[in-house]
Amino acid sequence: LKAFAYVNATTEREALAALAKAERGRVLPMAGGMDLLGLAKDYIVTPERIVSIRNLDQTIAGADGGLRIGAAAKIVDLVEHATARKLYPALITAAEEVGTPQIRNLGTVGGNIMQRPRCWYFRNEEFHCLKKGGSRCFAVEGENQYHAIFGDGPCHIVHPSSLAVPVIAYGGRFRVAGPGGTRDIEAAQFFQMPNQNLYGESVLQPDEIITHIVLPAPGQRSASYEVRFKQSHDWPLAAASVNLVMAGPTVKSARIVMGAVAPIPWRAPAAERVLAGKAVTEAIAIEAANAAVAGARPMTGNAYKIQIARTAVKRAILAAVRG
Amino acid sequence: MWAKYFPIGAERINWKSRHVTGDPAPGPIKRGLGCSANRWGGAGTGARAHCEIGSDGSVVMRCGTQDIGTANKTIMAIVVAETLGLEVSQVTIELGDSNHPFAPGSGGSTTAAAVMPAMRVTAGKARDALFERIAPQLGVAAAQIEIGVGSVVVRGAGSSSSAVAQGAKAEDPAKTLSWKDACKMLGTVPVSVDGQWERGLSAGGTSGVQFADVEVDIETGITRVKKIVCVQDCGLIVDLKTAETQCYGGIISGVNYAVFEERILDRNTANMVNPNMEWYHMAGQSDIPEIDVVLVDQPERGVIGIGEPPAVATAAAIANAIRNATGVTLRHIPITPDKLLAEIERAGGTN
Repeated sequence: LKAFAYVNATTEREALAALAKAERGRVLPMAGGMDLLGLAKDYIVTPERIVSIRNLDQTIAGADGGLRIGAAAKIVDLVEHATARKLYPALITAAEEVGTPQIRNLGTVGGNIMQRPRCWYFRNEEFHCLKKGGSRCFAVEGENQYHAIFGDGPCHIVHPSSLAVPVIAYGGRFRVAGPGGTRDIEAAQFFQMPNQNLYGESVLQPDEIITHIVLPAPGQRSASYEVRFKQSHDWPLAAASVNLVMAGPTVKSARIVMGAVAPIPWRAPAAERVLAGKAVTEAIAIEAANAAVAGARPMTGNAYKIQIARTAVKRAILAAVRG
Repeated sequence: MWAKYFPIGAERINWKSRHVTGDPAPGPIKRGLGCSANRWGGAGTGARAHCEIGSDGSVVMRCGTQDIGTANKTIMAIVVAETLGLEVSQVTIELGDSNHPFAPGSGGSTTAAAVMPAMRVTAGKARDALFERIAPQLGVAAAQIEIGVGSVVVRGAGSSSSAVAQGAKAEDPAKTLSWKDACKMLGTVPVSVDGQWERGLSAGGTSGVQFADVEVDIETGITRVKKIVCVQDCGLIVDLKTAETQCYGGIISGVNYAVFEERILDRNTANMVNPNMEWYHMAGQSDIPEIDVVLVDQPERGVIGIGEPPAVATAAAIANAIRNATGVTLRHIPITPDKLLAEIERAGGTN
């Protein structure tokens, strides 16, 4: 671990001042430190200054019929929040499955959304991959069983955030503070594909931070389903979140988002269209799940993930309608 | 011994409930049972040891063996304590130091069979040396002294040759000295003896059977091992609790071997891409099945190692259970979701 200066910001203003004019990678914000310390210890990042933002707003409160979550809220506090549990089961289910109890006790909601990809080439000092400024993605002709089944590259990571998936399904926004003030960004517009942004995964600039996650009122039915190889600490092979606005037994509109299948949380509009206007049966859920993975373009060793993603979507839909 | 062990395991896994290959139950979760058998060596030789008994009653046994987490040190103390009639807490075992008398390395499940005889022989020699030293002061022959419970017992205390000559009756009642009082008679010079492994106290050749109860989600290819039953022998069981623990450890490793553990090398650079506990999968608490261990004691055979034997059968039992659950046969471990889904697809899909 390379030595670094440490700034413990107690206000947004202090945090932004410490991050100001940050050259990418030289100054980095840290909340729970679950991801950043691992990155630094593996020499994937070598910051000169780390700015702690763990003491910024951690409150979780109802707002305008929805929910506002301070980005510094611990994942465990979200899991145990009664209102969130009642209204946003897709988010709570996903939060319960993050990491381990230790990670949920210290890791923050904002940190989960901003964590860097787990790609084993990106995380390995031995591989100077595209994302680190190298000339190739080693996964293409290498070991890609846990890589993306959607997207055209040139980098084939899967996005690591379990919480971003339901946040997008609920139509949430990220409140971002930076030198120019505060702005809200649709979560669905926040993440960027590698052909738009190779060295980062979102539109967030190095001198900006997420301060809040803002969710509108949920649909009447919502759920998440995650498929993991191990039951204990492991990353999902695929996950799905479903948010359904209902008119009686009929789906008025649906939002379906898949996780761990693409470089960003991956919306499935074709599957959403299958559900719209229908009362969901198992056959409809299967049809929607098939539509969700219809455009998949697997790599040499990960076609099996199509079946797993299909299953995650089907089960999330059925979990949502069955409540 | 397999013929005796299979019925025991079958009873405990409820083998009668086993369905034909391919769980006919509706839904994606398929249940299956499987079994397999193991044999292993577990013999060992060559360990040496040094034992000192101090005038304060302390017992120190030194041996150049090691405890790699197997409870070797615990069972060494148990053998020494039993030989001297003491509590385990009264015995000090010193190991893990190559300045101590030679003992072989830990491998091939040979440690217990190599070290326990050295403990028994050396502690016995120390006992005999103690008796030789204190017998003259007690006015008896060393052969009249034996080990009691936390004590030494002097038989016919009044019947030493000089006492008999003085008209004492040979059936004089036994006299009991506490261990501490007996050792006090050593004065400033402790008992200090060397000993080593001898034939006849240990052996080789273990056998066992295992049964697995698994659930396979045929829509995701993910296997959950629900229960393992293990029927295993290892000769004389020195300590039941730690022998069972060795079985738990072997079986957990067997589950990892069957389902999780895989060193993945990048095919183009030969760098390992999963050199960490994140992607080198190993079972965590929630991935470890219920484990039911039946140990079969064979005191007449002497001590035999139990480190590896319980790990031998587990993966085969799990693979057979997966076949019983799904109807597909996997011939390569670990049985990961990609392999299982490919076989299920080849066999005609999830329906």
